[in-house]
Amino acid sequence: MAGVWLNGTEMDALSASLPGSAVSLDASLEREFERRLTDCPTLAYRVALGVLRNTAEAEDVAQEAMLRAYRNFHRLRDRERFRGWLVRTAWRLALDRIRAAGRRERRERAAMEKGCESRVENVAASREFERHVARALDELPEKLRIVMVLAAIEGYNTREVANLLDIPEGTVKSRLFLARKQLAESLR
Amino acid sequence: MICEKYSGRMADWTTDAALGRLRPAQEAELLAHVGECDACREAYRHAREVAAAVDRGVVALVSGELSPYFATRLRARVTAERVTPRLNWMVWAPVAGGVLAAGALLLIVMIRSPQQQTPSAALVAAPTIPSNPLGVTETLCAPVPTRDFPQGTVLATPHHAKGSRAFNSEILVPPGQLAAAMQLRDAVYRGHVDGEQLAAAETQIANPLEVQPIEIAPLESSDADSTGNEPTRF
Repeated sequence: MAGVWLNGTEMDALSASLPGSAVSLDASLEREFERRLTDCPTLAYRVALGVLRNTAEAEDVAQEAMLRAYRNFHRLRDRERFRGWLVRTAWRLALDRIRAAGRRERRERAAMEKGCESRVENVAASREFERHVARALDELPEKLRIVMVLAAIEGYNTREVANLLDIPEGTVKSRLFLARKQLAESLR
Repeated sequence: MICEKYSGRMADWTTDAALGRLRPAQEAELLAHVGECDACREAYRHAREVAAAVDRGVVALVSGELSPYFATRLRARVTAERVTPRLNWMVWAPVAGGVLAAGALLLIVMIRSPQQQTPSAALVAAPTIPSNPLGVTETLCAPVPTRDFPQGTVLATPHHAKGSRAFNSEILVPPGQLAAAMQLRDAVYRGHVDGEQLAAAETQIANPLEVQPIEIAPLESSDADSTGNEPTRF
């Protein structure tokens, strides 16, 4: 990720200048948080993209999720769960944004998409097919949908998805199978 | 062509097999049948294509890279969070409570304290009173007996120190007695004069002493003058 962050000395000075601040982390926490910033924003962005399908909005959600993570980083007891916390935060923020966008717009979009359904072979590698998949994904139950999205993110297998969601790996596999089956049946 | 043997469960089997979740025994049976049945072979191929397409479609939905400006924007926002920290409620809550308490105390003091009026204010306020300068300002005020005051009398409004509204009446101060009136007002305000004393004085003013007719007896001279005349009667 591009960008230059404050070094440890600068962060020490800033932290010392803000006594009692709710968002002022001490130097060690600042450095630890900075390490998280190298790869976690992409994860938050892709989770949001799986819900919103809009790059600009997904970036906004990723920004907000990272800011919330920064504000609450000192409260996180188990730092190993930071990614899971960030994933859930980005997921919730994206869903909130979808809901705020209004149901009418989504209904109109769904009606338009239903009118141009066709066999999967003809539209497989096209944008049209992506819209079909997106619509089918939206209709999945939330528990299945988040597993499907996380498993589709590059580099995340079922074990890592289980760690992110803090659920057993067997549950992830089961939900993943159900999600794929429902998607396949809706796209036949 | 419809396979009569697997028509009922073929869809489920082919989908589960395409997703890799069919039981080994069932999968073996399916594959054996697919080898000899064109319709089931086509259904199985289609199911595998759909499964692969679904996976590709979802991956395409979530694939994407952050814009190069993302890091810059995020850094700016985090820096702003550092520079302009939000006040912790444990810090501002006691301060806000203290301010509210002080405000309430000040309000109580202002309500209970007498409404002081400077002499100049009293003098300025006087001309605004209409043609009835002796009128009572409030219904609770004690009426002031009507008396004649010379022209140029200045109106003053004394207030009682302890909030007794009975003394909140307007009086006319004759010229030259304003200083005395202000001294009385200050004395009342400072509590040097009791309200009851003033009330008694006011009653006394309201009921002035009756003028008793004086009977003047004629003076008689006891001494007869030398001329022998009668004593003089006045």
